[in-house]
Amino acid sequence: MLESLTSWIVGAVIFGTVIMFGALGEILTEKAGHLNLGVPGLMFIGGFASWAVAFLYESGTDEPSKFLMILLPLLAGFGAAAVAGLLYAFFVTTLRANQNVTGLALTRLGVGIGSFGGMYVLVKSGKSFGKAVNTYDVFAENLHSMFDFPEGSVVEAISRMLLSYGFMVYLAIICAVLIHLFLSKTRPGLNLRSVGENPATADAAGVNVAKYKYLATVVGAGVSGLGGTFYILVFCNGGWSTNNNMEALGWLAVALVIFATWRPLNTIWGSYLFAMLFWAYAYLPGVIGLKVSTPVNDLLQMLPYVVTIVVLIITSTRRNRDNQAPASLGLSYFREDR
Amino acid sequence: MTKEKRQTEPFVHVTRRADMNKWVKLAIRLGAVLLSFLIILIVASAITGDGLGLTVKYIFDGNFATGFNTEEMFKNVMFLLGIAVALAPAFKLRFWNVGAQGQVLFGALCASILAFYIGDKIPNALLLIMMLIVAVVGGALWALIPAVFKVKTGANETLFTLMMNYIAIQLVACFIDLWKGKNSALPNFNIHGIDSIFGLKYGITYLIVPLIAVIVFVYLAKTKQGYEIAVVGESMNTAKYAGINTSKVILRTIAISGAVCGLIGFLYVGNLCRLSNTADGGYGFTAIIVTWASQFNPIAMAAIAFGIVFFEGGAGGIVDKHSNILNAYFSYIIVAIFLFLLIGCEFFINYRINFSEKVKEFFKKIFAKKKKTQAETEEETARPAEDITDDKLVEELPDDSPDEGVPPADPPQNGEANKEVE
Amino acid sequence: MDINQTQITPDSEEAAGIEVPAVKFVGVTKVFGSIIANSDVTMDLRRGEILALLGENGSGKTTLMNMLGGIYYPDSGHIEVDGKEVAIRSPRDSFDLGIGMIHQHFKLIDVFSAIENIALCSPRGEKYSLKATEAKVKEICDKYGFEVNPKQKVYDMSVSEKQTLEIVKVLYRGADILILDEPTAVLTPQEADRLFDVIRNMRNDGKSIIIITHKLHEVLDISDRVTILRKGKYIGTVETKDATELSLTEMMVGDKVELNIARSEPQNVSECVRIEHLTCLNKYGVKALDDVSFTVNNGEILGIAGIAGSGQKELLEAVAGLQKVETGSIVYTDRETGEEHQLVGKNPRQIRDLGVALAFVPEDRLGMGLVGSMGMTGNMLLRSYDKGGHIFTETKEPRRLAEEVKEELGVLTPGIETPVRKLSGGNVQKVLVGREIANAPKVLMTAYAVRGLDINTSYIIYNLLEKEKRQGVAVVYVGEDLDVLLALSDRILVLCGGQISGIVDARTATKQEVGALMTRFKVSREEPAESDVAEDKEAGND
Repeated sequence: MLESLTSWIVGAVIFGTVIMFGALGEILTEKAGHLNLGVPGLMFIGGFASWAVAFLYESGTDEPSKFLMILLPLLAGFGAAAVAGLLYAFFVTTLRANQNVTGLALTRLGVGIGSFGGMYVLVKSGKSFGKAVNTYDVFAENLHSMFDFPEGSVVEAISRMLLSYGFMVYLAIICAVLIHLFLSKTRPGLNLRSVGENPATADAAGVNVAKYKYLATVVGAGVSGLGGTFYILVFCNGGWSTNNNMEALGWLAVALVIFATWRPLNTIWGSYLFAMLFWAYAYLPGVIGLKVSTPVNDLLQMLPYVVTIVVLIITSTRRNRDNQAPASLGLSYFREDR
Repeated sequence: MTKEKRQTEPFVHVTRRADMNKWVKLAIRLGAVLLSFLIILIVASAITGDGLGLTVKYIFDGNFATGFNTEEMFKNVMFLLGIAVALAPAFKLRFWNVGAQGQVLFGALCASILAFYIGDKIPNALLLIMMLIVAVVGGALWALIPAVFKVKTGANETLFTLMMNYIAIQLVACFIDLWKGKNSALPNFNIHGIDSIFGLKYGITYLIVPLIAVIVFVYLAKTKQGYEIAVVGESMNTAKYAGINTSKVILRTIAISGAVCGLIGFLYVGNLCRLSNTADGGYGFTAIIVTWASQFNPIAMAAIAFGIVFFEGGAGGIVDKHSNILNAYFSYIIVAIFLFLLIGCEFFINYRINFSEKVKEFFKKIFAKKKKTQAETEEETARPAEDITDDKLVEELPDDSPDEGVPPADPPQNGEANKEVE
Repeated sequence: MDINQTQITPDSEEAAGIEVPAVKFVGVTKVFGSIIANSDVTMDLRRGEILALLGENGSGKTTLMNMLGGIYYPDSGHIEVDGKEVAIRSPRDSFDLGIGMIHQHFKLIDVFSAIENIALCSPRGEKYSLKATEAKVKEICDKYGFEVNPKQKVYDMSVSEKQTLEIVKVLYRGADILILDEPTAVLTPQEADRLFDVIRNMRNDGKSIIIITHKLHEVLDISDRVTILRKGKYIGTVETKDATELSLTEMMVGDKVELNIARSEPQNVSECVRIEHLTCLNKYGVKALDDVSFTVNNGEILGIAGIAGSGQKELLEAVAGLQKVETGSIVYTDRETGEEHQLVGKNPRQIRDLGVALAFVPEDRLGMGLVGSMGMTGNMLLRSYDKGGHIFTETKEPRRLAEEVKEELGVLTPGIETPVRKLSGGNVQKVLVGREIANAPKVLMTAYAVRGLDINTSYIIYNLLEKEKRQGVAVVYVGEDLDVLLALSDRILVLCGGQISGIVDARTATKQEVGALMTRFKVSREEPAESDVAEDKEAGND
């Protein structure tokens, strides 16, 4: 039972990290007043770019450098998703296109580029199977494996739960804290929040609304893209797959933003909770010691979505002014409108 | 107080348009379609290494080469159009129903339950009618769940309906797993599906979807309930002022939207006699863009649906010829290019771009020196592309490039006629 | 007041002779769609003066100033600051030139605290420290006698607290050139006086100030010079000391317009709507109306006065069936049949189904009274679309009605199918009023019916109301201009903080009397309440 619970939590932390990156990026984006429904697409693009770079780098060099194996995929994942974010920002900020529609189109584009590109890279490199094995090893390096706790002991379980992850799990937490500090303690953070709340006021206060909208969306997209990076390089052990789980994860990230009431720190525990719910079907039976049939498993997989809906309903009934979405979310801003 | 010298006027500034001639609007939209076709050709040719002409041939082959392709294309147009029509009343209400996928699936599931359990016990015709009814009711109920909360608590419908999609997917998965037992896949239901007519496999579908489209558009444009939807969609306060029961209108309209989705779900199950998680044909999301871009014009809606399916089929045609290096997701990219241009061109319809004198002179000089073709200018602006995201940049920049922007900036009519006294 | 003026004016006059103007507009034109907001405006603001920018609603004052504030960019012409041509592309550019604008609609972020709002607007390059900002704000507050609670969220603030915060914001930023857009519109006369004192202090500090207003007494009270705009055009600039209310009115209005409204004696006055102990909450759960009782009579215009947000909106909407009523009753008596109907608890349709002929011209025309995306025909349908048994909408009758309204009220529109959103404010109002009167109402309620309209359209509206009254209709006119209220109404009901502070006879009441009633019962939650009353008394003694 302890074993199942530990595995569940460990699995949830890894899976949750994907969602956390996605949600953190989306929080930044939404703080600028952009509801970007392109998160699944951004994750696909980020994941694909990271994987492609990692795969090409390590299969192209005899002695891949550890430093580059970390740096290149991160830069590629962040950068590629950021470019996609730039496309979204251009449409909704400069062309003032509808945000929902643009976001959905971006998801389609991202899923296309990611799924198509993965195969294309494989074919072009002349290999039928593409795992960035070395990169996975670097990304999965952790402290837990350095200790030698007795199997099945509580200490071992705790160590696994806290220390058995690659650096990106902790990077996600650091990102959450940094974004929190950025939003609450810095002038650009204040400016960004004002843009999302009331762009006309921010504009009148001398904040460059378009600049903030662009920057927040582009950086946010990059952070969301890192979710894809982590998904492919760690969760999928460095192997490319066109698994549609990533799309579902993207939507979970959008849901998590609501669950976290637009507060970055809440995404830390929120993402792990979501992931535990997502994997409840796999681990819960083990924990409670019951065998569950496949159809019931299917139903259990609904849990994160059901929980999101419940949260959606609860936040909509509570009229707390401080826990609401940025007031201008979904609206495009045109200064000369009167 | 810092006082910087600012003596330049901005190069470009954008103003909202008063109104635009409908022919110019149409021309801009057609221009966007043509441009997207051009970009798609360039992107596809760049990847496959084929010549442009050959790529055009493959695109048409993908849609028309065989009877099967053509049938698939028209069937897909019907399904996409059907879902887009279903969404129209919701969008007129400004209710972001992104849950079409879930509503179609749940309708299909309801029909399937009947087919699975009593498929061989009652006459087939009666069964099909019952399946139709439960699918329509099921779709409506599924759509009503988020609508009820929208009305009662104001819960955000975009995210609610989005989540409902995944719940529906899991529900369908649950039943498929339940029914297939030890089989590797779910066998067809033991029913006789919807008959083909006119020798066409999807004959009934070709009748029902256009009929529903006509009914929905007459409903929206000519009926009292349609009027109510327009008023509620425009302003809740105005609706209340007019004595309209807004909650009732929202629930009724969303139920209609869901019911039509359910109907599409029935058509799927009725035609194929089986249930799968892709009963919406992947069109649940695409249809949103179709509905939005068509601005409630039924002909535009059909045309856009056709355009998407055409490009999808065309991508399929290219993939067929290069199956060693391309996969089915290639069509996602192709369609996304089309969608982005469709979305982007609205800007030029709603806004006017005013260039400063300096920019105008600059352009005059350039154009005087050498007359460039449109395509050349595009290629030039598309320089700073990065490896991976090449496709994206290519598609982004043409919107940015002045070629698209200049014609609308010189409006044919300046609104002089309707000068108003304030 | 007079002493103050004679002291300052010669100084600034002398200075202005030598110095280049602080701001100069040169041939500035701004067009919105088909509406010309400003046409070839050339004017200047001298250093260290208070310039009143005078014009009627819709004369282009705010648009012109918004170009200085970086909200709009001129379509042609240019702006000079300190003699140099500048391009003000954004509010930030405007700040950097030392220009600070206080907008009519508060530019505050609701979920931010006072100090966060101020920090948002702090000068470029200043270190971000809420503590330092707070200290500096306290300094400013002490200097001018403002009260700002730095931690208070804007959504918890009263209107006057928000305005205070706006002013502190600009002072914090230390602007040299200040633009105040109708700053007194939401203030009581006492609060306005205090504001004027601050403005004078700032002028004495050497700052240049433009105050946008259409209130003549304010112009004469505070300004050194007056620039007049009319229908987007520059009319002229005069020294305030040489101006009189009459001369300014002539410049502002142009052709002499008969300012008197032909008010008839009420005939066959009888009770139409009786309101007893009415209490309503606003959307934040605060009492918007508190135990209000009065009657509306047939054949009479009842004016309703009060500073903005005193419960006028809730009162009309409660009668119209749009506002939830906590306690109290609203009884309608049909003047022909004598039937009585209780209106509380009924929605607009139920009220209509009872046969209560109620017309309501709401304050928010496109947000409540009309459907912006529809043409006149579609909007004529709004009140009657559900008539007849069949499922299709009837379009013949509304089209005829639309043509009729267009003809009779002279609605300027390219066609009756043009979306009303594209019409100018005055024409939108004509469509709305035209529809409401077309239904032969027995009660006609109007909220700020002439807001934003030019004087001719305003008179068309006044005459329509007067005509309805003569036909025995019970007319309710919620207005903000006391002169109009006094000239048009038979009785004036004054609301203050959701309570009735008095009902006066419009033929005998004075402006001062009504103005005093408007500020009498201040809600205790607003800080300056007591001092207001005290000052009120002092003012009365003067």
